[in-house]
Amino acid sequence: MSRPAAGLPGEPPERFWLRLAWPLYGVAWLLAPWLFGDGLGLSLLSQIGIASIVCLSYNILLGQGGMLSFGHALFSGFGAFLAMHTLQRVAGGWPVPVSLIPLVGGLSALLLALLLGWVSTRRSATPFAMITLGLGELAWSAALMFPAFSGGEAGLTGDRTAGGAIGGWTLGPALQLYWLIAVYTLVCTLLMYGFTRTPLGRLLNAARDNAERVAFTGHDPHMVRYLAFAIAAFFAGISGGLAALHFEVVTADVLAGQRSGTYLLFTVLGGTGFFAGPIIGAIVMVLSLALFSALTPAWLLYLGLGFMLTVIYLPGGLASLATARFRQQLATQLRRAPAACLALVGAWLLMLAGLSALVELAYQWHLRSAMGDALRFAGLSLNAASPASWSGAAMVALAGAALARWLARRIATAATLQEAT
Amino acid sequence: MMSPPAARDSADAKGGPVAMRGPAGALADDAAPPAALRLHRLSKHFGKTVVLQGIDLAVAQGESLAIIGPNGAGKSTLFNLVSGRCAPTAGEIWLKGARIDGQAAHQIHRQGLSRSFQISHGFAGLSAFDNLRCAALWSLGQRYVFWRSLGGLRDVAMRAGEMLERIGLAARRNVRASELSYAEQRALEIGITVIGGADVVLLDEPTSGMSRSETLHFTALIRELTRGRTLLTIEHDMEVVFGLADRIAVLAHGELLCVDTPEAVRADPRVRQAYLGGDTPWTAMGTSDGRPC
Repeated sequence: MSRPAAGLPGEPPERFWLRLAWPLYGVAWLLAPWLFGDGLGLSLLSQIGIASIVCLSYNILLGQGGMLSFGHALFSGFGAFLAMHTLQRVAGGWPVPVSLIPLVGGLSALLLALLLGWVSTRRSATPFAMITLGLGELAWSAALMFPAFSGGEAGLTGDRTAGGAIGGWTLGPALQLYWLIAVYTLVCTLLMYGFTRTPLGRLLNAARDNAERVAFTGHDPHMVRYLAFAIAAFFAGISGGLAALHFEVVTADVLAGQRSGTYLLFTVLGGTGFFAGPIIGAIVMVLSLALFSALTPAWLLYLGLGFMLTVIYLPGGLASLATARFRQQLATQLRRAPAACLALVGAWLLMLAGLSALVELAYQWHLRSAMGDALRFAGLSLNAASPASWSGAAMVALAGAALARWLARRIATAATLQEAT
Repeated sequence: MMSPPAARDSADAKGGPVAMRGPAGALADDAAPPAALRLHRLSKHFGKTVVLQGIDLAVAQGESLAIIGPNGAGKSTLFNLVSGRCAPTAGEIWLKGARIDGQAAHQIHRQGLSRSFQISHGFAGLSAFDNLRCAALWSLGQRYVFWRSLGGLRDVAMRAGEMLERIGLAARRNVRASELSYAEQRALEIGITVIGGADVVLLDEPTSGMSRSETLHFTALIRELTRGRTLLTIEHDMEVVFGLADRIAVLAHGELLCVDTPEAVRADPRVRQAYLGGDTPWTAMGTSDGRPC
């Protein structure tokens, strides 16, 4: 009974690749330290593991259950705080292996979700979004009001080597922590994939598509959502616990609505309709937060732009690029109108260049008091105070967009004409 | 008002003693099984609008009852009250001797009452097979299970596979519900409704929007799938009504006009009156009002 994970848009699975996907994913985690073994590389890999667990757990709500949560950071953050408190107690003598502390994070988040979830999951649409938004903001402000719990503005710090060495493992070196995070990531990913193939996982998809119809099959859709909410919180808490070990500091920011928004954004960017979508989103998240921000100070503007373009041109997210349907379309179009396809890529690049120039101009305008109006972009001298620079950049972007549109139509017409003959 | 029901093939109809009795049940012979469904002075108001007023109705186990009436008569509201989609303003609903009015839809379903929807695409993103598996889970004891694989549940797969055969969708097993043809979606909707083994089945315009030949085929399918069960159908197509129903209930302006055999209803002058202009119902049938409640 090999079927794709529930409710995936698209086509029948390519079984060969699906069967290989898991071993390949495991091997990737095994080999990654040798390929990116320096300090920064290991840290990024660890963060990717942490982010992919939380994005996958977020997608249980959004992609699999149709529940738009604005407060998922409440659970990853609560898990991080409880994990950090436990870590501090371990330093004080508690006999808890540090490697199990992420589980403490998971279980505490699960408990919190069981307490808060019943009210939140009564409805799935706007009320759910609003309640989770409210809970998240409430927790964030409450955390600052109770410095004994949150450490106030400075947050809580801990030492992950506090437990001493178990079998020679102190978790002190980045590589040791990487292995711990890799194991947690693989196990959690497997468990969450398994969940999509259980009766409850499939009912969650059914409740997403038609909650009322679920009620007329004997299941209470409210209970289905509640259980899914708790399971998602459990994995978010584990991710928070791993983050506490990795960064060795937890501040109230981990509970903030902005964090929840980040989960939402990158999960959608990766593709909510695919199980692996959130993993792709997590990779993009870590790379853009850590690397992209070093490349250009205007990286948030680019991120917003990239998000918009993805939602408009690739509504299924980045993961939809890997579907057989997409690749077939690409292959046929390349065969039928290769020149036009090449020109289309050029038009897209033109549009992106115009948009980037606009972003840089906007950023320069924003900082003009400190940095002046003039800037260099792609070998050109632009001026944020000059209408000519702005309109020039806008015209390049519009020309690129118009050209891309025209070419896309041409390719589509060529395809239909060839089909007709 | 209530003629003795001409029970259909009621071999499967479950009788047996029950602890509670409907108010009208007290009037019946104590030895007889309780009515499959009994409505007592059932009313539904939306603000000042009276949609249903004082409905009294008993449906025997194994009986097939068709509900007809002009648009806005309250047929769909009646189904919504009985199935738990909304709560009645006043009155009582008894299912097999147990009172169910005011209960939630899933609670009522667990007591053996299932309904279909006039407009439904099932679970659009799931395959036809998974639509049926989801609908079969509860009755096979798989309740909110997240520690076992769905694929490993043989009985669920068998039940869903059999149902796919019966509704003629075996070849469409892995097609998503949203990509099925209209008639296939209607068949799937019936499959979802009956797969849980409910012994009281409510079908809301099961053949609406179908071609002549599809309707005939579908009527036979419904008869086959609901054999031995109590069946209530909202239906505009008189051919379907005569093909399925033991009795017909006529609703007009929120009140029950009469409940009788098809022949008697056809001859009833009040029924002609209800449909205005003296047209017979079977020529003046419109489409349903489609009111949500």
